[in-house]
Amino acid sequence: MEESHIFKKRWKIIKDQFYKGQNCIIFGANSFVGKTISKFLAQKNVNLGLIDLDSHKNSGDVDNLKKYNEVIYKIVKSGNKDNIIDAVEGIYSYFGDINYLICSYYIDDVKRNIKPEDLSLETWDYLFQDWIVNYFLVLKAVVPLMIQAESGRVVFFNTTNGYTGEGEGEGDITLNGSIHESACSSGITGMMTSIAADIIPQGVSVNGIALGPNYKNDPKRIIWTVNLWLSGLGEYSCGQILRLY
Amino acid sequence: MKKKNVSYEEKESLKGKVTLVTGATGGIGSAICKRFAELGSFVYICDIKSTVELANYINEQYEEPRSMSVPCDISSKVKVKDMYQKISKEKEGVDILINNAAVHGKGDFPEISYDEFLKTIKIDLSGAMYCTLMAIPYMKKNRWGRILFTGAPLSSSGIPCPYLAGKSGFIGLAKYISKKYKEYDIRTFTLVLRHCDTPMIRRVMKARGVDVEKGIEELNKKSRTGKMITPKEVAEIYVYFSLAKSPKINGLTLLSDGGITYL
Repeated sequence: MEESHIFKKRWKIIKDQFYKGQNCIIFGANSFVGKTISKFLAQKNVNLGLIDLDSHKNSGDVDNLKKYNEVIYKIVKSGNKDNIIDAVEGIYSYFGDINYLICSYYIDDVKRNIKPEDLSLETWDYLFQDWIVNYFLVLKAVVPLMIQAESGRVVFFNTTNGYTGEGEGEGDITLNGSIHESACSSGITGMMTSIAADIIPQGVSVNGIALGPNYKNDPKRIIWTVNLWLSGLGEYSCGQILRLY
Repeated sequence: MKKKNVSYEEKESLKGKVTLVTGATGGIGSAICKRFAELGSFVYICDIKSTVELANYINEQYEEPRSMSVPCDISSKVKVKDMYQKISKEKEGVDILINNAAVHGKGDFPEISYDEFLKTIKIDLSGAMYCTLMAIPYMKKNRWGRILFTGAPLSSSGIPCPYLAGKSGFIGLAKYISKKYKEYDIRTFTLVLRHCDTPMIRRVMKARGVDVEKGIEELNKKSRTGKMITPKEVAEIYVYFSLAKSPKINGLTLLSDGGITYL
């Protein structure tokens, strides 16, 4: 066997062992990103606690994931604090310590349902609650458990339609969405940066991924980036957001 | 009635423009209102607190009224809609919107309560979104508009998450609008501040039992320029942007932190 093949084989074993038996909560499980990551992590024998908003529920894929490993599926009402705490506590009481939290959102729905010319205040209220408020509530339920365990990794998603911060994230914003999406996505950048500053010293890493207009064309890039943030290789990239144009 | 002494070049340079300033009774907001009125703009003074005193003060300086008090809780979309209805009856619409209102919020994550989070972010982000969304249709119709934001750097440490969500939201919002509506000559600008020598900063120090003069001296020392930016200087930057002729002056984010972030 050639040396490079041996290396590849070893590396595959290391990667597979790395994830085995870890526990992960995925919020927004029925989004394209949620499904992609669920499948990837299930194949790596990660126990999955999947959470969806009741407006996006679809448990069809859960059975497929169960053939790989343990999966719990919870439906919550948007903006309902008690509902989200119950869902997280249910997953925690079954799996134990939560190692990873993935905060995803139903970007496709936003792009499909909110037209770029929409300037209504009501649309803002809907997206603000569905995206920003729910991210906050899920984090508020999960992060104390990670702090208690002195370990955890949070990966969140927003889009290149909004501001993604300084450093690598600095770059042009894309116009592939509405003004509401842009403001929401930009707000998430600030919210997560502040949260990162507060919780990284307590052992919980926080990094993000900004989805570009064509993110569905190459899901492998999403997996590559999730791998980077979950593996610990990005441990010193505190609060950074990689832009997947 | 007194007449304000302004230089020939700048006199009336904003005449005919209607400006709406949120968070108008604070140190920065009131300086902006006074300066824009001085340059001939009609200024709607918006704050959750009463703004009558400031409006009266401004109007006393000139022969004709140059300001109007529009107290409003911008976290309520109904109240923002009412405020714009009043403005559109009197002046058709807003030419220059200055999104300056913000509350700081209290608490690190994850200790910060849900109620505190919601209360803060609804003013800091939703309030600015409401005002901006209501301003754009008239600006589009009029094919002219300026939307300005008072931001904060992401690198600011110890800032509660809902506050930074609002400030970061401003930067993205400004960049998006600058691209999306450039054909309507709607331009945006974000001034990113770290510390500003406002009465509020002195009040906060006093409330925390800090010697105010020493505290101010320390903040001034932190800055590479040896002093914090003042509200009057902030107002000048906003005027400078509002009067910029080049269409390329659009979507800019100006970091005015005295070099604290990068130097």
